Amino acid sequence: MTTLRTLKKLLLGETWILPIGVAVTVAAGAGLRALAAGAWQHVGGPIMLGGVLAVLAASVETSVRRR
Amino acid sequence: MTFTLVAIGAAIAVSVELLEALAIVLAVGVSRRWGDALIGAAAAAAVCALLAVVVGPVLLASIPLDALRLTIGTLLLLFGLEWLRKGTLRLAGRRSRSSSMAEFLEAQEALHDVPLPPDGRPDWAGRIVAFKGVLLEGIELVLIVAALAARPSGAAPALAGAAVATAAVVVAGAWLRKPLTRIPETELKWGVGILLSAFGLFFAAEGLGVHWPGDDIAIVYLVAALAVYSRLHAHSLAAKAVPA
Repeated sequence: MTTLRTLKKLLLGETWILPIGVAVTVAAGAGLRALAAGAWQHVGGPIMLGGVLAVLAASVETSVRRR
Repeated sequence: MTFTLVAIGAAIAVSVELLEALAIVLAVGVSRRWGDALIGAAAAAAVCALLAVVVGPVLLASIPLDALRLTIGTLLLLFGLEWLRKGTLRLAGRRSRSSSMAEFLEAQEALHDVPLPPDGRPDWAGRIVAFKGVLLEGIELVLIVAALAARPSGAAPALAGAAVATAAVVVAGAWLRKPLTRIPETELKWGVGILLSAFGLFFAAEGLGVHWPGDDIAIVYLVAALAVYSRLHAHSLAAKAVPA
């Protein structure tokens, strides 16, 4: 169990917010691309940057609240 | 531009991971026996090398280009954002600063109550602590370098950065034989978090068909955006912690 826990921490980090947030951001990007491929090419970057910053903010705030 | 940024990112990431591994090996060597510390470290390095030989070619050979960019980007984002989360908390004073000296003391503490076997007998406790320390830091290092090296434009910058960093840390450790306490590890790790997150976002978005304005230059403004955001967030958290 300790080894599994260490491996999980190594790959996914200390909080579930990050892997779930990254997965949601990537999945949302794929969904938006499927809906509007032309526009996505040009606005997808800023949208994904916004998603990543939101995930970072949520993970930091959650860590602060836990302490 | 991208070559330099990837090389720098790989070099700093490898340096900080190796510093932590080095601190553990030094702790075993100083408090137990150097031979057992080096045997444990060498065994772990061999396992990591085997992992690198398997992971790199599998990533490159078996995944189509866009899926490869998305996979690499997602992996780098996972590592980068975790380092950046911790870095932001440390800069805000909400988490203890990163220190190889702490790893050094922790490893010494772990072996404190285990008696040292007589000369000529293997010190399995020392070997295991050195093995485990090097293995855990090494796996993370291999995954980061493999992801940076598996970029469609080639492995050279990541491997060059990793090689330079490995040589520098090993020489410094062998020469000083103690943890490098004056290195600002918190700031270095924060910087690695920024670089890995920027690369991860860049590749993942490219894998999803995004055309970044300015092409490779996008990495520079992604680095700037992540750095500014993280600093502002850390500043705001630090300000909240100060009583009025």
